[in-house]
Order: sequence, then C-alpha cells, then structure tokens
Amino acid sequence: MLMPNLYGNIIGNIACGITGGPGMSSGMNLGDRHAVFETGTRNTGTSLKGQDVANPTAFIRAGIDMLRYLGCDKHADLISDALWKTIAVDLFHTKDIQGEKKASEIVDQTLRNITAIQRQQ
Amino acid sequence: MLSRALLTASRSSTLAVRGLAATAAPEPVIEGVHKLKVTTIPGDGVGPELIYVVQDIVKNTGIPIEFEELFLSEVHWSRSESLESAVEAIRRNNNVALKGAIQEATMLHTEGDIQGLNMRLRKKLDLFANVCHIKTIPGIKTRHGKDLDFVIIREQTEGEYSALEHELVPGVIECLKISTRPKIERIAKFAFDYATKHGRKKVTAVHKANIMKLGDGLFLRICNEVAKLYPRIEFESMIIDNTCMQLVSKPEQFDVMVMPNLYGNIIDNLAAGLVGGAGVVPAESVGSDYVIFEPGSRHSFQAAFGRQIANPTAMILCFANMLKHLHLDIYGDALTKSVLDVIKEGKVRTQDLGGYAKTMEFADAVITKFKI
Repeated sequence: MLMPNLYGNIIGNIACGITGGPGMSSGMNLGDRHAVFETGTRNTGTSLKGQDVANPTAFIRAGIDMLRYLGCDKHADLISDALWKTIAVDLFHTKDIQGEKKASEIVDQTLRNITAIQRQQ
Repeated sequence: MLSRALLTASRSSTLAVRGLAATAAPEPVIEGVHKLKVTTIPGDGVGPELIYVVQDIVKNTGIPIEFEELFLSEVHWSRSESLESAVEAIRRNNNVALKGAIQEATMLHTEGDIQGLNMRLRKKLDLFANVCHIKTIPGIKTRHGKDLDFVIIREQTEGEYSALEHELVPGVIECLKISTRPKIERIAKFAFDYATKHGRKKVTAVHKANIMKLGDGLFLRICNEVAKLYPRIEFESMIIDNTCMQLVSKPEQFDVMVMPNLYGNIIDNLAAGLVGGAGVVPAESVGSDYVIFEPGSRHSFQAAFGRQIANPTAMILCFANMLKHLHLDIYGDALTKSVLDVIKEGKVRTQDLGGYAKTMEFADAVITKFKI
C-alpha cells in the first residue's frame, strides 16, 4: 500500500493493531543515502519504563531489518529464525500479547535458540 | 389496529395545528390520520433502492409519514434540483430529510469551485455535527466478538474539507486545513451536551496536536476548556494513530468520541467495519435548525446499482431514528425492534452479512415482524 504522510500514520497504526499491537511490528525510514530503523508505531511506551515488561519483538525485528539492509543476510536470518521460534514455537509471550514472560526472558530464550540453531548448522 | 387509529387520532389535533402554522394551505386529513411530511434525497448508487425500501415499509405498516423526493446529484447536474430549492423543501417538511450518498463528480460543472454538493448542502444547512451510532447488533458475527456501544461526533463544516487548495507553483499544491474557535467550541459543547443528555460517562477527543500544533492544538485546548464545564463527564484525549490502534484491539473502551472532520471520516468507517460494515450503521447530520438522517458510512456503492444486493439496515435504522426525532417514538421503536429481530433471527441475510437475500426480501421480513 502506498499513501501520503497522514494516512500512512493512521493506516500503519491500524495494521499494527490488527497484527498484535505496537510491540510486534518494525518499521524503517529510507532515504537516498541513510536509513533509520525503529518500531512500527513509534510509541514511546513511557508507562512501561523500567518494568521489564515491554515486548522487545518490534525492536529486535528493527535490528533484523537493519542487518538485511546492510547485506548481513545470514545473521539476519539467524536472529529472525531464533525469534520466530521463541514466539511461535516456545510460546514465550509478554503481557501485551496475553503472556506472562518478562522482556529479559524473551531475549534470553532468543539467545538460547540462536545457539541451538548455530549448533545444528 | 383500533389502538393505532385512536393513537393517531389523538395526535392529529396537535399535529394539525402544527401543520396549519407551517404551511399556507392546511394538509388534507385522510381518515383522521395526520401524516408528517419529510424530504428524501435518494442520491446515487444504491441510495434510491434503499429509500424505496423505507417507502415500502411505510406503505405496508401505516407509519404516518409522507415523502417528498428531491433529486440532487453532482454527476447528473443538469437534472439536479438547485441547492436553494432543496433547502426550501427540507424547511417545508419539518426540517428533516432522509438522504442517500451523493456521488462526488470528478469534474464539477461550476467554474472555479472545488467544493462538492455534499459539503455545500451541509454548509448551507449548517449541519455542523455528524453523529454516528456504533452499536453491536446481535446476530452479526464480528472479528472481535465484543459488545460495542459508542458514538462518534464529527465536526463536518470546516477542517480539512474547507475546499481551500491552490497550486502556487506547478507541481506544488497547498491545502489549507481550517480550525476556528467558534466552530470547535460548538462541536465540543455539542459532544458534552450529547453525553449528558444520553447518560454517557466519557468523552474522548481525537486529534493530532503533536504534529499540527496550532490547528489541532487549538482543538485540544478548547475541548479541555469545555470539559471543565462538565465535571461529571470524564474527558480524555487521544492521538488519532493510537485511537485507530485501540479501535482495532480494544474498542470497548470508547463511549463518546469527538473529532475534527477528516479523522471523523476515517474513524466513522473504521468503527462501521467493527460492527458489521457500511450497511448497518445509522447516523445523522445535525444543525441548529435541521437534521438530515443518512447512513454513517457514506458510500454510494455504485457497483451494486440495480442488483438489489445492498443491505438496507442502515437506512431503515436512520428512518427509525428520524421517527423518534419527530416524536413518533412508538413507530420508531417498533421499527428498530423489527429490524434487530430480523437480523438476530438470521434467516434473511443480505450479501454483506454472508447471506443471499435481496434488498426487498429483507424489507419484506421487516414488514412482517413490524408490530406496534
């Protein structure tokens, strides 16, 4: 979908809302020479500060996007697969997606999955 | 039947006086039943089919309403009534109208004017508030399965729809979004008064004041000022993008929402999608002197033209709301109930709700269920 600024803001948020909320999707800002990677909905999440409950998925995916942009496809795939396994297979979910895990637990599980995948390769 | 005749006969004395005062010649009274005249503006696309459904229901249920039809069109502008005669007709007929969607023409026949007929009609009648009723209808399955009941109040005479656009330099267009203190005060006060009158607890102002600091900043500031005059009603403000996200994940939190023009257009349609689509949401455009009842989602649905597949629920509910507005509550409530009963039963379902019924078949089902 292609659209001007304001509509993009609105539709982007609607789409994020349907697909799991602000903690899940990532977004990228692209120009001719630079690129900035961030969460999809640009929410600061001030109310969640310091409690270890914020869903790290959006930000990790932003990082994965950045690695792909830089051409590090192998590493991007590795982290992406590990994160996918954490959420979709191991079912480690934070509060915003009706789970009880802390943010640090998601990260730790993802690291464990990365090691496991590397061992298989 | 006898009770209905007695009721209408008792009304006829007061209504006859009103009729005599409003028109030059007295209305012909047939069998002691005085009918109220209303204007219909069928519009384009499926509008005429939907208005015909309403007329059919009135004919078969004895609701004391008479219709005066007005052809207003932008696409067929040479055959259209003038705006002045439309206003005159509405004024003549109890200051209310039932309206279908008028299709916006790509090229206007009037030189130098980019404002469409819909906007000009609303501005002429000063219909500053659009009130859209979002209510879950039992029998319509939704993605979220929640019980929703909220109202969207949209300022619809200024904002992004001011038709002030110009091309200073080829390829560079400037579009002016107008926000004025009097109109914002008016819509804010309308929202809080509406909330008070209908026993609502919370008003949410939707804006984008973080980006449009002056335009939406003014809107937010005035809403805050007006909120102080209504200490019993909770007030909160929400940025449009967050509002949209909340609407698709936790829509049950909303009660009354007030917002400028463009956001209202978007949120009206988003919310309509939440309860069953454009075919089921009724709304009204309200001014100080006039009210026009039209479906909440204003789509002419040209693709369905003449195919009898459109869902007339929204138009019928609009008409029921009009009956309540005209103090014909008994008929209005009965009509609303019969529509909701038909949908709840689930036997007669139009295409948008997953069924195969034709528009007129739905109308027949409503007529069958109608009972005072």
